[in-house]
This record gives sequence, C-alpha cells and structure tokens, in this order.
Amino acid sequence: MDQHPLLLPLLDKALERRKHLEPADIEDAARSAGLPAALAWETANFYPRYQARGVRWLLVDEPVLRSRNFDELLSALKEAAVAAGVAAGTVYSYGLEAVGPALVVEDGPERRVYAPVDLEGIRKLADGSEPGTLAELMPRGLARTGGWLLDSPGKLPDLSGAGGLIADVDSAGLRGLGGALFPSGRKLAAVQAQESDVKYVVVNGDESEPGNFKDRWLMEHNPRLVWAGAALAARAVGAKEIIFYVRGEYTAALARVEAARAELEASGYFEDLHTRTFRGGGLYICGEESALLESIEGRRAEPRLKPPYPAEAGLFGRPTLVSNVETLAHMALISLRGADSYREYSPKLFSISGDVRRPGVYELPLGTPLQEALETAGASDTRAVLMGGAAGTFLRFPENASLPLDYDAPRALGDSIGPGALMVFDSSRDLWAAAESVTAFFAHESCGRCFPCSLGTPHLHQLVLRWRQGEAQPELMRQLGETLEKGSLCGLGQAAPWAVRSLIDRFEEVAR
Amino acid sequence: MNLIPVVVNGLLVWAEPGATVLNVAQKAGAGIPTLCHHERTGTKGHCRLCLVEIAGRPRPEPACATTVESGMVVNTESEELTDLRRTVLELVALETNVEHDVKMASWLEEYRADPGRWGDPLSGRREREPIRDNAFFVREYDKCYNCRRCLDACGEGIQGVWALSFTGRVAEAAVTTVFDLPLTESGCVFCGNCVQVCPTGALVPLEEALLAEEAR
Repeated sequence: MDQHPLLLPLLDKALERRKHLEPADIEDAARSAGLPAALAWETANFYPRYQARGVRWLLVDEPVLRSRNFDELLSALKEAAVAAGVAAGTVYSYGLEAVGPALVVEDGPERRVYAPVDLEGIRKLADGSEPGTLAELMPRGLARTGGWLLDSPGKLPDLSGAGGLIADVDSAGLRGLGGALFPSGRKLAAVQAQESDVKYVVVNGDESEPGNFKDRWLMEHNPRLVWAGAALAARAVGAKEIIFYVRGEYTAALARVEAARAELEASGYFEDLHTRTFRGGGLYICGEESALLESIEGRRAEPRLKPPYPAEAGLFGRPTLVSNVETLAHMALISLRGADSYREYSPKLFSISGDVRRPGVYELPLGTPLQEALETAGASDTRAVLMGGAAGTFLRFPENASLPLDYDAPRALGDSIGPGALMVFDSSRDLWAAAESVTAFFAHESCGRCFPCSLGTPHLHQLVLRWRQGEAQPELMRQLGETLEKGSLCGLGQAAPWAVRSLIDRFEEVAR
Repeated sequence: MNLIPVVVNGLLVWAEPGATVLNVAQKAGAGIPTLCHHERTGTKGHCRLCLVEIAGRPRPEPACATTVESGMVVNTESEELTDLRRTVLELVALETNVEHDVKMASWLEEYRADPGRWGDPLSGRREREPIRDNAFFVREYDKCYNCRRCLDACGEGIQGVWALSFTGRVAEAAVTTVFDLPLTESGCVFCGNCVQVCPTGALVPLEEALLAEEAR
C-alpha cells in the first residue's frame, strides 16, 4: 500500500471501542491516515454506520416487497416502534429478496438482520421478541442449480497459468458482470499496458443494487474461487496487491472472504502477492469503480471525472483493475477449464426473485430464453420482469418470452441483463409500487456531487408519487429522465430513470 | 507552440494543446453557462451546465473538465442541451435561494426557466439559518448550491487550511466546517479566498450583511 494506513479501517476500530465516533476519534484516525481532519469529517459524515446512534427498526425496502404487503408491514413496524419507544424506518436492499421480507434491528453501528419476517413477528417486536429467523448468512441452499460457479471448485487454478489469461479471457468473450458488461479482456489489457512499479487489483464486492444477490452468494459460499480469479488477474496485469472490497453491511460475507484469504495465504497460494479484505462504506455508490477507490482512500465515495480511467490512474493514482466478484470468479474458471470449453457453455449467474416458487441464484448458460429461466425458477402467471435491478427495465411477459438472456440481444430494445437480476411480478402485483421503491432507492443513494442527480433523483421520486396519486406529468417525467441520463456524472444518475420510463412506455394500462 | 484545430459550433478555431473545451469555446464566442467551474480553485465537473456535445462521444461531456483534441468537433448549443440546462437551472433555483445571484438570474431568463413547474422544494436548503460566528463574514447557506469552490479554495485548491468540510448526501449535502465548529475554532485563517470565489452570495462580508439588514 502506498504510504499510510487506510482511514475507514481506523474509523471502524474506534467504532468498535466506543460504539460511536467522537471528534477526537476522527482526529486521531485522520492523523494516522495522513489526511486533513476536515476530510476525515467529510468521510465520517458520508457513510451511514459512522452516524448510527441508538436503536432503530428498519424494514428492508426493495421492489418485490413493495409490490406486496410493504405498506402493511411498515405501518405495523411503526406502531410497534412507537409502543417500544424506538425509531422505525426503512433501509434499502440487503440482497435478501429471495428470502424476504427482511428486517434490520440497528443498535448503534451494529445490525442484526432477520428474514423472513411477517406481520405477527413484527408486532411481537414491541414485547422484546425476536421478529423472525436471523439471516446474517445467506442460506447456501439459495443456489438452486449446481454449476461451475456454484459448485466448489476443488483444485484452484495454478498462478503460473496467468501468462495466457488476458488472451484467454478475451477469446472466452467474458464481460464485466457488475452490470456494465464491458469486455474484460480489454480492461485487463489496459492495466497490463501501463508502465508502473505499483499496480492494484481491487475486487468490487459492493453489490447493493436491489434484486441482485449473486455476488453475496459467491462471497459467502465460494470466496476461494473469487480470490483465485483476483490472484490470476493480478499476475496477468503485473499488480502485487489485491484489495477485496466487501459491501459494509455484508458482515458474513466479510468474515468468509477474510477466512478464505487467510487460508489461501497460509497455504502459500498467493505467493508474493499482498492481499487484504476491506470493509466497504455501505452505500450503493461505493460500487461505482472510481467512487469505490475514493472510499478506499478514505474519502466520500464520489465518482471521479473520467478520463483518467482507473486503468491509467486508479487507487492512489496507480494503474488499477477494478473488477466485479463474479467476473473474477469467471476468470478463475476460464483458467481452469480453458477458453474454448468456457465459451461453449458461457455460464452466467442470475438472481431470480419475486413471484417464483424457487427464488435464488441460478447458473444458466448465457443466451437462455427468458421464459426458460422463469420456468426453471417456477414462475407462473408472469406479467412483468424487472431485469438488471434498480438500474434496469421492466419487460412485458409473455411478450418477451423468447428474449435470449445474453450480453447483446436485450440491448436492441434498450434493455440489459445488467448484473443478472430478474425480479418477477405476476398479474396481481402493483408495478407502480415496485417502481416507487426504485426511485426511492436512487433518491437515497445519490452521493450529492453532481447537480442533475443530487437534485433530480428526489424530484423523479416525487413525480412517481404524484403519478400514483393520479397526477401524471409525462412531459416533466421525460425531461427529468433525459437530464438524469445525459447529464449525470456517473452511472447511478444515468440509470435512475430507466425503470420508470420503461414502465410508462411499455405498460399503457398502468401508465394512465 | 503548435496550435491544434478544433471546430466549435461549425467554426474552425485554433486552440492551445491542453486547453479545456470550455476555454476554447468561450474564446470562440460560445455562451456556456457554468455554476461550479473556477480556474484558480480547480473546481470542475459538478454542476453539469457546461455539458457540450462532442462528435463521437456517446453522451455530452463537461466542457470545463474536457481537454481539447486535434480535430475535435464541439457543439455547445442544441435543443437537447437547452432542455438539460433548463432543467438543472430550474431545480437549482427551486431548491436554493438564488435571489442575490445576478448571473443565475440572467441564465434563468435566457433559458426561459420556470422552476415552479417542478412543484415545491424537496430539500431543506432554503430553511437554513445564517451562521454568524466571526467578525468577517456571514455564511448564508440557504443561498448555497454546492459548487464547492469554497471547499477547494480552503483545501487543496489554494490555501491548504482545510477549515471547511462537506456533509450529507443527495440534495441535503452541504458545506460545513471541520467537526461543525464555529469558524473561529476551525483553523480558518480568514484569508477571504472562499468569500472571493463564492458565486452565489452565500458568503457575505459582515459589513454588507449588516447594510442589507438595515435596508430591510
């Protein structure tokens, strides 16, 4: 690591001692990290866990639950909270859409997560009972298929095979599976081409987008495969240090990623590579690659202006490969199985939730028709699919039954598989309620940097609320959507209007 | 120096390598609104009003943060850019007290902005009380739209004092001081750089603030 210890781990240590942060803690941490106190104060004010105080009961807000009995559960929660004298509210997606509804009991910086919870469990909270099953760990059985990514890899790839990785990844046709679908081989080559003594590989495990939980499953149940991919990638691009950035709320994932790291290190697998597990800040914006780097550096997770791209000037200004958890797992598999047999099968993980009998993580060959994916998960009476996640679009069903779930086919109509979320809604569900969850999410997660997104996402949400109350303003919706998409600095604001726009454009019966 | 050819709104101009698109376009006579950019503080890229279309780029780019390239074809005006700028100006004017911002007023007029069409403000910006904690200037953050010039002037842009800090997210993001201290305890050296670069009148010399109060 360049120079100083990192700020967030220092703040976390202070938080462990005291359960909240005092200015003196922040000043100490800033001094150790070599940052001005004013910057450390900005950082501590940005990430939710550094401001958490007291007990709060939080219902997890996500599109699937919103289309069901979210309102009923939330009002019961508020009632129970009033009776118990604690605060109640909502928090966004915990990657538990497949086992929801989920509830978070926050006590200062600590959180206990329960899923599933029901009305009765929530009512019992007031007399001090547990509201449901503790769900710190995602059940392993949520992997509903076997497969290359979901079965234990057995023997890990040998790091000596990294020499051919870039060419193999390129010919395997792998893309970035965090959602952007950028060709992975080109990204590797861009970092490899940089001349620098110091380069980094950063594993992006900040998965925070409603509807997506496949990275969480991999981090909790197959972290060795991800580390192996990261180690191969580091060798291939000439990096000596790997930082695995795990979403701050995913405490079980954090522990398992770290345990896998320690085991691999003890076995000598990493050779001379330096590795560390990093607890992320706990916000969706931390998954934007340059914002993620800012947060490792101890700053507010605000996206940087590009160029320069992280490949040229990333962590501490050094060439950096930032790569998604699943993408790196695929790199390990390409190395293990060879590019040709990989290409032949082209596995992809899908997070399927909503109105299906078997919600969970599915490994399906790329190009599987939408209908087949839904049938595998046990969908019936499907009316709509929110594909990709919050930064996704609503598709009509069965009209799109034959749509191949691959990288390019959905793009013809302005859709994308994104990170692979399929949120399924049957004909009894309120799609506007699901859309409301999406706009509420963006209006909560915008970092506050660029004007279109920081001001536009709350107004987009407001327009949705008004529309639902019968006051449709399509022209304002269109203009704000354009402004967000064309004007925002990063992908968060750019994608914020997609779901609502697709709902209005494609579901005339609800757009009235 | 070898100048490079750039086309701005159909006009061929010769630009210095390394210059920003904003600089070159302004010299070519294009009127591009900006709320955040400042040469001295290095502030750029926040307000997105200076977005321009560059041939071959998939989306508009901020002119203040884009370096000209030889043969670049830049368009600073289009219906789409006008709509985009109008929307941003309207949302800023709706959420922020811009009554004292002369430049903003002229842009609101130029873009025929109607902030009221978005309904009521959603942030608490306009409700912020003035902060009077020193003998030199008043901080009226109801007028602040987070251009961040003051932060850059105080920190890495000019002064290196780091008395000012930033807090919050989304529309509630706001300028503050380190640990929210009164300026007199923040390490501020009262250099006045932040007051000088503030475009909105949010940082008001005390004398002016008192005179304005008397006039009311």
